[in-house]
Amino acid sequence: MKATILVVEDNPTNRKLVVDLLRYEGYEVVEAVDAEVAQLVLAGPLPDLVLIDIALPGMDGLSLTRLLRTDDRTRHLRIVALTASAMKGDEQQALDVGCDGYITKPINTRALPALIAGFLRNPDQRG
Amino acid sequence: MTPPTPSIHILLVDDDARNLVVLAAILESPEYRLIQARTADDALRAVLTHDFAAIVLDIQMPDMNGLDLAQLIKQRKRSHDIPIIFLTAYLNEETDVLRGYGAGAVDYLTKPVNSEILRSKVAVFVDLFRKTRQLAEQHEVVVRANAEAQEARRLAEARAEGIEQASRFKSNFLATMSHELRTPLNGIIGFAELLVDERPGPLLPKQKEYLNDVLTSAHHLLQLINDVLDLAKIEGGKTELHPVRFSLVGAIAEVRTIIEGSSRKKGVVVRIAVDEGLDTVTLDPQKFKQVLYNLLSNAVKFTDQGGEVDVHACRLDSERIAVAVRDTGIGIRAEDVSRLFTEFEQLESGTGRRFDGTGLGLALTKKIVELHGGHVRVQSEPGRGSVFTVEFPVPTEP
Repeated sequence: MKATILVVEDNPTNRKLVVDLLRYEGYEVVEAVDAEVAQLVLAGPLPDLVLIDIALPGMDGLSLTRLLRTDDRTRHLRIVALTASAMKGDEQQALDVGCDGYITKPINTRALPALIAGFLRNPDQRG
Repeated sequence: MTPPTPSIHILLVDDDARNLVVLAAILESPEYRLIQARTADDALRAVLTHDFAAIVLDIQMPDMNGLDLAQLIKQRKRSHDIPIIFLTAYLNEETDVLRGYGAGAVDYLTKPVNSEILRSKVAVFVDLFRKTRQLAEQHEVVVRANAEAQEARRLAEARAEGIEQASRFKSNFLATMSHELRTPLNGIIGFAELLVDERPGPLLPKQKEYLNDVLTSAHHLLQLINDVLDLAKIEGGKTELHPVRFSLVGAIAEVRTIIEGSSRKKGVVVRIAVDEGLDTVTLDPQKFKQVLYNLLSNAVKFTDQGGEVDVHACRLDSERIAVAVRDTGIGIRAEDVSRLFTEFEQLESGTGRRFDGTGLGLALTKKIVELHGGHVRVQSEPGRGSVFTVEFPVPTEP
């Protein structure tokens, strides 16, 4: 059975690009436009991986991750941050709040599949 | 035409008209304007309307007290410093009182007046008056020059601040613009890639070709935006260096891998040589690679089929290392070298060919190297090739 990935991204074009790419790769994909919708989705069956954009309107990706890490149910979710590479320091912040890793935007459609596969293979990269 | 010398006013005070005629006759001179006063009122009025170089005043006047008049003159601020020469029949206690007003400002002569002595005493005061007036004029010139200098400095400061503000605004604007421009561009590139990679389904060859053209243009635009953002960050003082120790040969090889596609396509061989003892260096590795990428991709771009590019890293002295990128390309004319590092200057190749590029690469390279406290040097011979050398301060480690 193919892995399920939740994509939390507010920009519709960026979201569509990631979602379509992951679907072409054969993943089950669930979408959320913000942290609130993501929490509703996560109240149901848990995905294998969550991709969270750091710069979300309202509750941002860092706060959402921090929140998910405090809940026993979602404590061990695999979370990967989407960070804008122009914003230095985002990467370290993402790791600090408990993300398993980060992928810098703009996303490279040719490199993303291998990165995602890597995160799914190694259940705990945080050590 | 020289301006007329301002006349020297001398006040003669005596209630006796005949005495005034005598005094005037003694002091008669084209340099002097002699003002005569027969009453205290006349004398005071004259003092108010003229700047006198000296006052000649007869104390023994039946109808007025010369001493009182002298005191009135001395009390007024305007006339306080006018020297008074008293004419007195004999030396008495009155003249002693007058000495209290200050030496030099008061003098006296006994009657009958010796005309030579009177003339010479007046001449001394006139000389003093002239010098004082000259000094005052010079002082005024200095004060005016000073005020002008201050005004000029204030203007210059205001202008400098305006320029700095405008420059900061420009840098901030460019940084924001670049970031905002990049977001939609990511969509263009991402979806074009999905199509070219035929994710949704197979394409006709022409469709694929055109989409690759879209991608090439989009990547060019992205590079331009990234370079502008980098330049704006550096100019806005927003670029932070993060120096860490890294493998020099590793970093150079990594950059060679990035340009491998274009060098192989052109049949240009890229060789790397790193001197012994230069295993690791402490610099900002991202910035170092950016500099090397710019130099290496330029070298490959301007080198013809089958040419060679050599990268040589060596230690210059205990404080500096140098990385030289040598190509066998088209070279640069000496008169064009100074324009190399200017934004959006791509030199005429002389062969009528145009080369891809943002025109920002070398400007950015220079800024990054200088941010590290280093230098960029160029040696070139048209038709033979160029050597771009970057120097970085990297002290030898103990």
